[in-house]
Amino acid sequence: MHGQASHTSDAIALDQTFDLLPGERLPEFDSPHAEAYGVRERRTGNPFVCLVGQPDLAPRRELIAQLARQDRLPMMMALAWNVVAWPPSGGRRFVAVFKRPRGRRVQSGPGAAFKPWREDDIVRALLQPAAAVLRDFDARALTHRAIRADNLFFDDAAETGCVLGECVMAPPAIDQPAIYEPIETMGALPGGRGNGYGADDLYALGVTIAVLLAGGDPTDGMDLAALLQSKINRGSYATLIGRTRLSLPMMEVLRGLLCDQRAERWSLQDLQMWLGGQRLSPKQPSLPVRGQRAYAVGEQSYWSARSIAAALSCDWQQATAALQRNDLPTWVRRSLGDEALAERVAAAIGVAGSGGGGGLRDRLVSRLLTALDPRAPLQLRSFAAGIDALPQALAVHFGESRQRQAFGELVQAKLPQAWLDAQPLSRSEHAVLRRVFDSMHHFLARTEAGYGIERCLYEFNDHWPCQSSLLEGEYVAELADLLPALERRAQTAGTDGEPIDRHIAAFACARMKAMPDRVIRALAKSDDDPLRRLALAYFLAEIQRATGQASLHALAAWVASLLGPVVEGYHNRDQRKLLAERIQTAAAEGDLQALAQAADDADARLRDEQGFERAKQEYAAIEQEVARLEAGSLVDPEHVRQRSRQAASLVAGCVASTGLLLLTVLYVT
Amino acid sequence: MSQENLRVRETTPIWVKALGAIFALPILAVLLPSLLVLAVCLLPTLGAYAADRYRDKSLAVTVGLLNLCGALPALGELWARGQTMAAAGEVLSDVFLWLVAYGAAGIGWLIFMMMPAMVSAYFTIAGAARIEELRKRQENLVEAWGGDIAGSRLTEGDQPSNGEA
Repeated sequence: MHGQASHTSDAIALDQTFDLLPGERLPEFDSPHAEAYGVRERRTGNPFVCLVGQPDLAPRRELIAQLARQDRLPMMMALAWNVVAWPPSGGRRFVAVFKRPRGRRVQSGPGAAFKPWREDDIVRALLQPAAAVLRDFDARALTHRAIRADNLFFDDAAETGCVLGECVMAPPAIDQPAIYEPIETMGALPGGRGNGYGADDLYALGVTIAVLLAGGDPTDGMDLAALLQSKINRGSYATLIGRTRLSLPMMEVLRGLLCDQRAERWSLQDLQMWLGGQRLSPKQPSLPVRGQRAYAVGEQSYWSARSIAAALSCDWQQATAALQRNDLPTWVRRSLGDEALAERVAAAIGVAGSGGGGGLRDRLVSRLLTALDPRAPLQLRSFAAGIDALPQALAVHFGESRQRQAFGELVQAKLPQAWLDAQPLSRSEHAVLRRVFDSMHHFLARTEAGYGIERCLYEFNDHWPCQSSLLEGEYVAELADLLPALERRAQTAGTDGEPIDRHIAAFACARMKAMPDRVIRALAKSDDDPLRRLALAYFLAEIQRATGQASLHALAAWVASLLGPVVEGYHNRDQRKLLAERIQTAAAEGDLQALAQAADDADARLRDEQGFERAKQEYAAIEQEVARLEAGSLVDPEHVRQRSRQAASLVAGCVASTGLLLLTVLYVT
Repeated sequence: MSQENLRVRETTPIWVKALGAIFALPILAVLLPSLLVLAVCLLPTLGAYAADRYRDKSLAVTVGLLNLCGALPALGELWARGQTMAAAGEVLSDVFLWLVAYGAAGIGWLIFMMMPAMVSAYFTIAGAARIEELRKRQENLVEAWGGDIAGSRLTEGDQPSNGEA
């Protein structure tokens, strides 16, 4: 449910139901990537809360739409949402209205300490409402990916129950501290964790229980690398619970939820059976195969292939050194005794030998890490993301040039396909992913506007807002929002430059699949400026045709002002004048399609070219004739002699005829 | 005209020539006095024909036309006195008629002699006017099509679109 927004003097009306209050800041309800403000329901006056998203992040719109009518669930659900002009930020923002929690946040911040919960409180206040939410998510094949202690709110003043916080204002799992992520996604960038699976929500629920039991982060002081090594070598349960004394049922549920093997982790049915009183045998930790000898990475020793991969992924220089030493296949063969793994590692290293530059070395390191731990995120230097979250990682970290470059190298080197090839088990979605990566490779191979890395950004992130600097202060996530935003830009910020840049071109191409390729190609013709400007007009006209928007007067005037070189491309002055008048007429109507067609009259252009050629020939012929005349061709003696002899005969004939006539008259009279 | 036609013209049958002579001789016999007067009066034309080195014989045409016009009074006088040799002698003895015929031939000669200077002067004036007209046309072309049209010349073999003045 979403609708139009309108402004009153101190409130912004949303959907004719809510009044957003930009002056009522509610920091206690902030999400890490969204600020909270007050809201009043118009009919009842009840208080709600609205979260204002960041302009460079996309909310999970599919999730918002699917969860819109689930207000009975113990979770913060969006009741209304839209893009509105938001005065505190000086631009347009995506906002969503939520039911305001009646109690405080359970954990005030990710590292904050609080009074540890009792086990029965956890079952009653957390597990039962969380299970209800996860059951609903599971039925819809959705994932929450924001289950953590600092995203829980008490549901009443007595603090007897909890509601889960929102999970829609930022990409999935981006706000999760590493402790809440299973081993498979811990190494990924925050933006590269992806939607994941229901099992990942259950794991996060298990970590949340551990945090509530400890009254804060049970691994306080442990950095990411140490936490990852601990989870790998000791298991998540041992890392998070340690020697804390728990009841058998609580130990049972924690061992089930914190199982590091995704396939063996407790399912939602297991949790529901446990909540129903049925007891299951506790899961035993499944630790990696330990080698006979340690492998040294820097000054640390590691005993399993997975722990080595994790250590190398955290220190790329050491990973490069290990590649150059080329001793890993031998270690795997001798210490682990795993001949198949040794061959895979040797094959990964030996793809291009030990030579090559830094880029090639990095790609080999990436292949090496995938061979050592196929379940780990795909990584190239500091860029690391789950295989299904590569586009999202690109989008979240697009502002970092090194991450953009790493993504480009990774796709062009077909490392995602290599990652899929390295998986021991093929999943049904792998075929879809392969097509996605092939498309990415194709987009990156083309450098013109409308393709490139920007196209990867928008093509595979459906609701990602356009990051063009021309749209600063706007929030354009859908194609229908683009031209109105450019119209506002033309009205307020002037018409310097062009209304299309690489971001806008890629955004429009991604959102509108039917953009003609000839227009995109012409847009890249930097050596033919009139044609490029004409393509620019056609590009915007195609968007207008697709969206059915009319009366874009300011934008049309902007485009018309850019068509000067097209007009100047005509040779004939009258034709130029006529064309300029037609362009101005179309611009005054705000019709970009008519504007583009007015500027692109093929018949007139042909007539102009032919007329120009004829005029050139005539000019040259005149020049020759004038030169001949100035050289005295008319008064040339021979010419004068010929003409004077003819003239003399003619004059004599005239005189003789006259004389004959007179004589005849005299004779007769 | 084909070779066959030429050959046919060259081989006019003899009887045609004979028939022509049969008709021409009586006429010549009757018009002999007129021919005599004309032969005397048209002597300047004969001289002009002999003096003109060019094939078009424009000098002979110019002098001849006016000379013929000047000889008509003498011919008229002859015909008024009757077609006799005596009348022809009387006419030829009239100096005034000689003066008219030869004076007309002299005017023709004078026209022929003065014409080059007149034609040259005319061409000088007409050429300047034509140059001015062409320059104006070039200006119009440049104004309509821009200065780029002056950047090329006719390729070899192309002819100017305008003819000679």
